[in-house]
This record gives sequence, structure tokens and C-alpha cells, in this order.
Amino acid sequence: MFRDKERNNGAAVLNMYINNRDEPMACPKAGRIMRYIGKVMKNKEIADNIWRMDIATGRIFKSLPGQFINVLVNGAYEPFLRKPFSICNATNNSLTIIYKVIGKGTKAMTVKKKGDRLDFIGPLGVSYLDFYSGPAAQRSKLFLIGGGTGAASVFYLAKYFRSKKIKFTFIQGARCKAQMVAASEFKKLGCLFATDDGTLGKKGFVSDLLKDRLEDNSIIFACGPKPMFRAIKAAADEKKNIKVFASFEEYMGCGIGACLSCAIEIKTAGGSEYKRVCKDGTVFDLEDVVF
Amino acid sequence: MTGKVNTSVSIGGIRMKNPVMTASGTFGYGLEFAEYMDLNNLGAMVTKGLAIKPVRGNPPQRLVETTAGIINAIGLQNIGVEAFIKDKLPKLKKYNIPVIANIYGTSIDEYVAAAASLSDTGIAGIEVNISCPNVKKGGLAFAADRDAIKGILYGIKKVFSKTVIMKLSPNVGPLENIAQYCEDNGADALSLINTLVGMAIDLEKRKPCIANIYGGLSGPAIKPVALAFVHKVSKAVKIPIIGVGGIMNARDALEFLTAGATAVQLGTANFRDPAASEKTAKGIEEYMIKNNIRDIKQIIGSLNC
Repeated sequence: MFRDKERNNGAAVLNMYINNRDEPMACPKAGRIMRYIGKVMKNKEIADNIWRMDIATGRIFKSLPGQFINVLVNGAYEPFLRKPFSICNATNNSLTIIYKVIGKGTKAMTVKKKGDRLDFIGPLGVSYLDFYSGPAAQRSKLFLIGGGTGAASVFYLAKYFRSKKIKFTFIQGARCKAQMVAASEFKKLGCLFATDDGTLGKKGFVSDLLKDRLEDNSIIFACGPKPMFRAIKAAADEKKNIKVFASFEEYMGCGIGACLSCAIEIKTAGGSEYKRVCKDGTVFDLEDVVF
Repeated sequence: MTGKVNTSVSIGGIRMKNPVMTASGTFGYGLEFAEYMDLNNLGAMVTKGLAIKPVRGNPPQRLVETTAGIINAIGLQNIGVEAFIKDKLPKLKKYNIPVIANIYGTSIDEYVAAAASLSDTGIAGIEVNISCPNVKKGGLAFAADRDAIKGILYGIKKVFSKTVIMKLSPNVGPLENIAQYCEDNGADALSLINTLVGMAIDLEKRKPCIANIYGGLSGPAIKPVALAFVHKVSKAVKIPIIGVGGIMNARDALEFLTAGATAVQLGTANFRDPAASEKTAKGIEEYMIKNNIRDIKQIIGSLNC
């Protein structure tokens, strides 16, 4: 199946990531979903084709790691639909997204300047934290894995766990060092790196790093391309009782659970059914997903 | 609505405080939109298409954006009539608007069974989808089949006493004759148009953008086509017409009313702006006040030509 070209879970290159934002993370319960008219505070190309946008939300905004916003890119009908972006970090009155310029929607995003209004809906979707509860989970060893454009939401989760003094192993993969220019920011969170060409960290895949460290009863949170999920699953299958919770992407129409465009096949007792990535996810238990 | 202008219209036995409805398949089961607008400000809402049994839907990719619109082939995924009545309808009844259930089937019997289940449930009416381009059985196969239309209407009328609306397809050629046939066989109203069969191609991959290859085109791109169908059919029948196709705002809605529609449905607009239907209803009222139009009936079918 095709991937949504406009969908961005941020990017592997969280360059110059919000150095001055060490205030406490957002409240552990997500706020009510609303339509916001925010303001662009900063919109900057931080690497080749990778942009970061800081947005003042105008009203109280309470999001959790793994959630996204759905942005009306412009008032004309090109692009026609809203575009979803994973939240990379947030306070109660601001948020950051990282996006890779791929299609019309993301190209139009780059034109936005400081002070421009931004119509968005959020916070949408479930959080990684919805899968992290109970004493058993809290005794588990945690792995956070981002691949390619999957860095943003995992980074948000890493920041959250760090603020709660919860230990984790953070692994980030990219094609090459140039696509992981925020290495220093990731390093601050103890991140390990894997690149296809070995220009940064281990030459190979995130799953190679994972295999060496994975222990029975661990929990893995991941965001990235489907082949990465397959590799993680293969590594997990070699150990006992590993839970993998992964953020998926699929072409969205409305982002609010109405259009049933972003279908993902989920196992049921008698077979399988289609769930909505935007509303029932984007985070799913990998065990439940039919690849 | 304020007392200044009369925006109320009737579709069969359904009395609506304004002519703005939501189009089936674009408004979920209604409740998804309660976060963004007050459902009470709508004239009526139409549910996602319901079948007698739950339907799985098509494999993804199901939808793609095109110029000023979208192409979709969801495949009528739905929870089924029974689950709708049990889980969704009680919540919808808390709102002060008529709820219209859109139904479809793969045979005449399935249509009739769905209608029978919805009888005496508090549903204000049913809209019969004989025009979905994205499913193999039912759908388009029935859109121009007189025997099927007659069988469906005859069967439904026996088991369902409230308003029955037929939703027609633009994909089977001129609609005046089919519209008249529906009217002659007991339809209380007509919705037109459903989506136009369309296609989008990913040139790099040399593949269709959606898994179903073809889908239904909707959005502003089809508005002129829909307007022409509404205008033509409104001259051919006496029963009310619900205009649907690319309506984004009050101005678009007013054009459809002018062309001869008694009410309108907003569909794809809901994906861009979840409150689009509520804004459209307000916008119509504002237009009437501004232009000193007391009654919306002064607008309906008022086209000078």
C-alpha cells in the first residue's frame, strides 16, 4: 500500500531542538480536542528539506507523546485536506512540529512566517502513555526507537520519561549522519545511533542495536517505517514477553475518526477488522496489527 | 434560528429548522463532530451508510486528495443497523434534530430488512443509497435498474412508514427519467448527486493512488456538475430535492437552493472544517437578513432563466 506522502511524523533531524524548553512536560491527561487558531512563532529549515515549526496555541493546549495535530495548511483548496503532524514537544501554550517537505501541503507550510495564523485541530489520537500503566509496565526495561521520519513523537516520549526520571534506552536510525543532524540533542537523552552507511553510530539498523540490548519482559515504543517495525518484531520474537507499541501512519481524510480513510487491519477473535489510525491509534500494540 | 427570517423547510414528513444537512459517509455517526459544533444547529443529519450486517470496507489506501476535492473508495465500512440502533442512536436522540439513516444493501431484501429494522426507532427518515460507486453489488448496479428501484421502494414503503429519500448517481447518465420513476413509485424526496467515478494515478509508481483503482470524486471540483443535475431534475419532479456536491459554505448552498433544491447536504467540506455545516446554516440566515428575504422559500427554485 502507498504511504501518505504528506504525513510527517517529524524527522530524524531534530536540529537545534528547543534548547531552552526544559519546563515540565504537559499534564499526564490529554486536554479536550479542539480547533485552535494558533500563531506561528518560528518556522525554519533546520536541515536539507527538514523544517521545524514552533506554534503558539493561543488557548491552553494539553497533549501527550504520540498525539498529533491536523493543520489546515491554507484557505484555498490546494491542498484540499488538512495535514497531520506528530507533536514533537509541547507546553500548555505552545507546541513544536518537525516536518519533511514532500508534497504540496508541506511545501505550503514552509511559506508560513512568524505571526501567521495557523488553523489546527488537536490534540488527536491516543498516546504512547496509554500503553504504559500498572506496576508490571513500570518494572519493565523501556526501549524508545525512532526511524527515519519517526523521530518526533519518540523524542517527545523520551523527554517525558526523562522529566519523570524514568530510565529508558533510546535508539534512533537514519540513512546517514547528515540526516541525523540533531545528534547532539538526542545524545543528551542518551541516544544510540544506527545509520545505513555507518557515518554515525553503528552501521546497520536500529534493530541491530536493539538485539544486543533487549531483555525478556521489556517494553518497546516505536515510530518509523513498516520495515523497521518488522525488524523490531523479529528481534522481540527472540525474547520472552516483549510488548511493542508502535505509531502507524496511513492516509488520513479528516483526522477525527469520521471518514474511515486511514484504515489499519487489526486482529480480532474471529479474524480481523479495519480500525482507524487517527482515532483508534496512531499507537497500536504491534501484536494486534496484521502486516 | 432567530425569529427574523424563516429558514425552515420540509422534506417529506421531516420538518427541519434550516435546509442544511450533512451528507452520508462524511459525518460518521454524527457524534464525532459534537466536539466542534452544536449539532442542534443543523437542519438534519444523515448517518454513514448502514447495512443489515456490519461491513468490513475496502483495503487501504482508501482516499486520495485531488484538485479541489478527494477521491474515496471506503467500501461502505459500517457497524450495521443493529449496532447503530443500540450504540449510536440513543446518543443522537439527545439532540434536537431529525436523524436520517442512510441505508444500502446488496439485494432488494437487504435494503428492505435494513429499513424494517429502523422502523419505530425514532429515525425521521431513511435515505436509500442506490448509487455507491465503490462496492460491487448493490450500489451502482441498482442506480439505473428500474425493477430494482421499484422493488426497493415497494418493499421499504411496506415496512417503513416515514420519509424515504432516494440518493441518485450521476454516473448513469441523465437523471430526469430515473427521478420521475422514483417519484411515481413512492419516493418522498431525492438526494443528488452521489460522487462521480474518478481515478488518480501515482506516476512514479505507475499505480492507481487508491487500492480500489476507481473511487468517488467529491468536493468543490464536482459542484458545477451537481448544480446542473439538481436544476434539470427539479424541473422534472414535484418531490423535494436535496442538493449535494461540493458545497463548502453558505454561498454554495444558496446556489443549490436557487437551482431548485429544497435542502442541501455538506459532505467533503466536513473533512476540512468540522464545523462547516453549522457555519453554512448560520451563513444562510445572515444572507437572508442582509438581503431582506423573509422566507427561504423565496430562494428555492428562484433562478432567473
